Amino acid sequence: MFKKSIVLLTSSALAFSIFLPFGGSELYAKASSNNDVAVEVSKNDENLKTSVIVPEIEQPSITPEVGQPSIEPYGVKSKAVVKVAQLLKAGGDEVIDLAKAFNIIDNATAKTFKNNSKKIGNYLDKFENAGDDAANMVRTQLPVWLKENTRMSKGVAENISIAVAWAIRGADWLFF
Amino acid sequence: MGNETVTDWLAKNMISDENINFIETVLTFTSSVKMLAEKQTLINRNLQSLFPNKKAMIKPDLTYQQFTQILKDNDIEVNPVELLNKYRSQGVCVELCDELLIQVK
Repeated sequence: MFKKSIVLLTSSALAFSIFLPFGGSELYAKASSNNDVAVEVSKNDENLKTSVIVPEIEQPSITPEVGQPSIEPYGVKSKAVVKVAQLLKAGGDEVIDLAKAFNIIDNATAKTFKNNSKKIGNYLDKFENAGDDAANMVRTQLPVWLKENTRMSKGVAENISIAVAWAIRGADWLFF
Repeated sequence: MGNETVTDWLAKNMISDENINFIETVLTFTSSVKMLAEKQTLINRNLQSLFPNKKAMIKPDLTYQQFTQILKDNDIEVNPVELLNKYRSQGVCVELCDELLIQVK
């Protein structure tokens, strides 16, 4: 009698542990104390699907070091070019009057500069991400562009470019 | 010959773009410091950062002697009188060029 009871008890326990998981509920494996990953097992009519849940890893943000200029997709922004371009687009008086007062350019150059101020200001936009090279690039490229897009002489085009390069190089102590 | 600019002349004399930019910065910054003497230190710091490998001191009373020394110190081999005359004729830094050229013996 006693033996029969033991057999009955053991088989009941076995049946319980085998059949209960298939009762339609989801089973979660217990994570051991050292395991960070939870394994989810769910029953499907046809298959047993498993998926692993991985905790989201935060992507490190890349920030520039303190004191470094911010990096734009296409180069380093030149505050000076932006400022000079803005002043020229607004009529150019602030730049051209200073260039005359400081005897950088003569009156003839200043007059032509004034007549083409907005055009030149718009052209300078292409150098706004040229960083420290901006003034040198303007000095080289502006005379060529002026010759191709205006009727001014080579000498005047060069003088205006010298003045614009001066304004960009000295922007910190001229305009800021 | 009439169409030759100061840059054309400098390039013909084998002066590099970097040295042309340097010469023009010295001339334009010197012209500026005459009107902004209180910013002399800032202007010189600016020059240093623009041309870290060059030696020059911007001052309102720059002499012709000092200007030729700047050219020499930076291995710029060009006739200083001709250089100043070219810039003067073209209309760049006319007053400064006149001041320096007057000192030539």
